[in-house]
Amino acid sequence: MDTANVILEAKGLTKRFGEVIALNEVSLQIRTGEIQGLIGENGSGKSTVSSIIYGIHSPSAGEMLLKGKPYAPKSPLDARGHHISMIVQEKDTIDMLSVAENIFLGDEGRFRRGAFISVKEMYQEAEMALRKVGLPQLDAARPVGELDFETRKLIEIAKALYYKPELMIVDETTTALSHDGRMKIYEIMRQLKAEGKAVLFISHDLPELMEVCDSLTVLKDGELVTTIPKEEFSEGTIKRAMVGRTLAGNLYRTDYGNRLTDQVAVSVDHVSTEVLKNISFSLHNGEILGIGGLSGSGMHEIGKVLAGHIPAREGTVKVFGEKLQGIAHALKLKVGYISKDRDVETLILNESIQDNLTISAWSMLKKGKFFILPRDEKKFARVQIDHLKIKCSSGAQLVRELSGGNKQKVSFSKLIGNKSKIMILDSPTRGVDIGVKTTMYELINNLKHQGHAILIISEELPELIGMCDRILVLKNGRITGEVKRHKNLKDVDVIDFMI
Amino acid sequence: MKKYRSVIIQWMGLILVILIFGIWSGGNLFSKYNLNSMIITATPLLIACLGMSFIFAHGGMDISSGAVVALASLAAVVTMNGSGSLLLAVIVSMLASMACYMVNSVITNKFGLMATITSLSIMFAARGLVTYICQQTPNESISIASVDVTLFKKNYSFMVLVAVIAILVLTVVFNYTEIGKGAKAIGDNSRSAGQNGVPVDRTKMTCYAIAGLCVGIAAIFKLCSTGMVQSTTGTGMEMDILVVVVLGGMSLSGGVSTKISSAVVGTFTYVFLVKGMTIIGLNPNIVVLIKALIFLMVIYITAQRNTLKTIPR
Repeated sequence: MDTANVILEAKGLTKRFGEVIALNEVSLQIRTGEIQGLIGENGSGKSTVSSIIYGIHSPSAGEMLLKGKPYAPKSPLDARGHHISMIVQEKDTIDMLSVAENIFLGDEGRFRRGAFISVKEMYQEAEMALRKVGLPQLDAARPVGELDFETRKLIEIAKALYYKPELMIVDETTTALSHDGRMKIYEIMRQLKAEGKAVLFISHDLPELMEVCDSLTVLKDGELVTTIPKEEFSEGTIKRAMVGRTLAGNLYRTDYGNRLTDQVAVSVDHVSTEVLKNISFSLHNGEILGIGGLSGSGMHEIGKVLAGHIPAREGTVKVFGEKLQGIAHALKLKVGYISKDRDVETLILNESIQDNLTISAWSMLKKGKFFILPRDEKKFARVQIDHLKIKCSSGAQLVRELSGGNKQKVSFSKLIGNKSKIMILDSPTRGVDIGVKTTMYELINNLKHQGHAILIISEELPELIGMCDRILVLKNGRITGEVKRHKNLKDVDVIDFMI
Repeated sequence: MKKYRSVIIQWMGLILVILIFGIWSGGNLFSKYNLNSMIITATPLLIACLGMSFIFAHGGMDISSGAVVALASLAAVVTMNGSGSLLLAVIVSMLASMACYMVNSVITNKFGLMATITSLSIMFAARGLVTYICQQTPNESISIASVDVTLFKKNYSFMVLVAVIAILVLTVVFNYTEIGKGAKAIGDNSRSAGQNGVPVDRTKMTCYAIAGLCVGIAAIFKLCSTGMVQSTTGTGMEMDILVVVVLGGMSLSGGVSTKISSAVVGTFTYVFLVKGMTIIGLNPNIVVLIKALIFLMVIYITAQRNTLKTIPR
């Protein structure tokens, strides 16, 4: 193999977490002037690879060579010193600090003038860094907490680029971004490539990887399956490599019968909140209703209003004819909700799968008036774990140790377990791989046929078009359009209402 | 096995302390006199720690317990001397203590203050009030007059009985009801707990009420064993409680890893340790110093254990 422009070579990387082998003898080469993709199902070891390269974890065995020299970073700071940067999936900025302070966090020393830090110089440098990611108008003195998710991600990229990375790792960053945000990131990656730098791009989104990458490395269960050059890219080949079997054709449901029951589960009547303006719609039993829009359109707020987390300032929300009052009431009326920020709002990562599953079902598990017995909890959790085939050692395993897809299965199981009749699913397949996605869609479809009322809030149009009976499109807090399920429904038909 | 490691460590610590000081003191540690005196120290401390576990479980922190003990004792002694009824005094003590903790909880919830800071002001207010009232009396203290308090002072089987009942009842509430489970969920992630239907404010308030109730019971035992209230009554109790739970391996950050058994093991370890050091003739000031060192050491070990590495996504 040609080793001329290899910047980073990993040989036999192995990582064990206790008894779990997250990565087994993985060897790969990353070249300059190339965008290399890394794909695999959740738990396949993608993130382990990147966290080893970036110095977050050290490998249990194996070694790395950076430009031919042994490379064993002790910390992310160490990696940064070797001109390796990483952008992570989750939030990596501190809300209370200004944009500039976030960019130079841990490196304020470079602006030292005597005993003080030159704030002026820091802001100037920050503004220069921001210009490179297309944010010239952003005030570097603003606290990051005031900015939206997408801008924050771009700030992280600005930070990464400032340190002139020879290798930039982009770890599942794009899933949470809008179309525009993604385009910006692609552009930056291509620019790095043109400058002769290397990019390692980790993503779940196959079309995006196929478009952007020059080669694609596939991992499965901690082992390297194959590396595919661009010429041989095809969806079928890659998916087969990922899953190790041929996937059945269709991801979404295939029926197009549009008959709705006339049993209204939720009716929203002229509801306004700080973000939403005069929203009215109804959700029927046995219906999958989609809510689409761009980030900032208020689509996520609808879910929170329906689940009782945010009160309607004007108008009413009725669930089975009863006026909704708060979270406890919503739960009592069998409204289940999965938040977009599942790790913070729906799950308790430090607790076991069992504790997570039972928490929203305590009222069902109670013996007498007060007591919740471990025996009943265990049984309850067992049923749910088996039902959705959650991959875990036992119900006692901590949720934080699970992969993204299995975490989402736990979230779903909570709703099924407490017998929710109305399911509000915000970004149900965010950060979830194809295998689990298929399971989720099947499950949602089954729930529909059992007569559940389902609301899917999603930024992924294909998902909405593929799954929903109706799609409501939001823009600036208002409903701008309604689209009915149809075989020939295209992205553009929906996008029109968004912009 | 791994799951029970920390529990085993705590119990081993207790056994070690008992063995070392038992041998060092030539068996003197287990004399009837010493055992009885340990029961007197342990009972109020244990009951207070059990109650405080509910506060630690939901991630709260309280340093007012010493001052609240003083205030509750004061209320109790005044009631006792006025009415001549021990039972009434017990009830008043519990109510006074609960009132302090409820005020704390309401202020914390309503104004979104840090619980520690609120408890600090409760501590000053309660301590100030007790000092002021005591200073108005000729001896700068109020003693129990003409009420028979032998039950709380010398009846060791009664003390053990109360302690055992407290352990049983509170363990059940802590582990098998929505109050204890809710508190732990709040300690781990209050936002998520709330969105899953745990009534966050109400659960916190219930936890404070339980803590208040327990501190009130502890106050009665303390009052009866000393026979009077003065401005220094209960001082240092809040620190003793922290040392106890930390010795018992409780994580002060709250959450599901909080074990109420920590209060039990911790109390025993603490009481045997302090008694042992006194028997072998250590200077009491050095005993305090050693307490401080143990506190630091255990906090350090606990902090180390909590930074467990986990598998990335």
